[in-house]
Amino acid sequence: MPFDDLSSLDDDALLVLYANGDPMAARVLTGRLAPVVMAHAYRLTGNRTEAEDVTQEALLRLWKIAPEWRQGEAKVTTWLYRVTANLVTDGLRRRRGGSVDLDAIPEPEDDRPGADQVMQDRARMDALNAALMTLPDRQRQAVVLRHIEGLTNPEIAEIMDLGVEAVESLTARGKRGLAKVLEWQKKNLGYQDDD
Amino acid sequence: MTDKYTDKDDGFAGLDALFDTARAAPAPLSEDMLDRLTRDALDVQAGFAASPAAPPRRGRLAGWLAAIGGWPAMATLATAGVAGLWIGAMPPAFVETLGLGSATASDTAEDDLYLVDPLPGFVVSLTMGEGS
Repeated sequence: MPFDDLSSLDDDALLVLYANGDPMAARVLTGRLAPVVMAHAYRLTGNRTEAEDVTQEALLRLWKIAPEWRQGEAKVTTWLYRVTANLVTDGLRRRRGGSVDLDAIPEPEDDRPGADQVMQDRARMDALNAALMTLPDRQRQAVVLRHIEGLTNPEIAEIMDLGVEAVESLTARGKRGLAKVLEWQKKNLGYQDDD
Repeated sequence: MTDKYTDKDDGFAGLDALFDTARAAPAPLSEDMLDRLTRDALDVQAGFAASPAAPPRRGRLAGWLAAIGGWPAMATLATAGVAGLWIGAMPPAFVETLGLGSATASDTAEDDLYLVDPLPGFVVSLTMGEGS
């Protein structure tokens, strides 16, 4: 089947074609999903190399389970967001040298000495990514999924294994935390007061 | 004065603008990385074709069945078995006249005489022993 025809198919259908051995489906799916996973992994890790590793592993897992994929049970992207977040969390745990209660991490303070230093010479996206990295993992994940990936709260609840209310709470706290950190960077970011 | 980072009716306006910019920004995915990921996908897919589903393993019964010639042979064997059972349980008349039936195979003395063994085997052996 030509590339253009495949591009009109949804992820589920493409994954079936992939499992049936269609190499064009492999190319279309990779081109469609890799940027999504990479962007999400980068926003969660703040580290390009680590994001690439996570992206490669998440997609490998998808390819391997393709023959057993059950159409209609879950969106491919939802599954990938969940796997990506789990891989990032596993990486963070390893770096921290053991199990960590992610929700026990305190909310960021607006006068962290390192945060404003890091953001001073960076562009807006770097500032946002740096600010995101100051959030607790779950808050960061919820904020990224809600406000950057544009998912709905029920979709995020499914990905994070939470209730919708918990998601709302996480995104609200995360957004407040970001605002506190970025408040220091208003001038650098071009968001100055209007007066 | 309007501070875009204050929590106004429409939320954190400045933050939302940053989110919009982030959403529009391309993923930091290099061509090399995309090529590598595509190769991964094709490699895993090639593995599907290289390892077709293994044929179902044949059990001992299936092996024995194949050894005797399959289901046709099994049907023949079953038919022969049933026929033998039938003949044994309800022997036809001609089988009984061959002396394979019960002791009441004959009804008359003439038939008994006809059916009697005139020279039983043990008599023959005795006779041969005397001559030697």
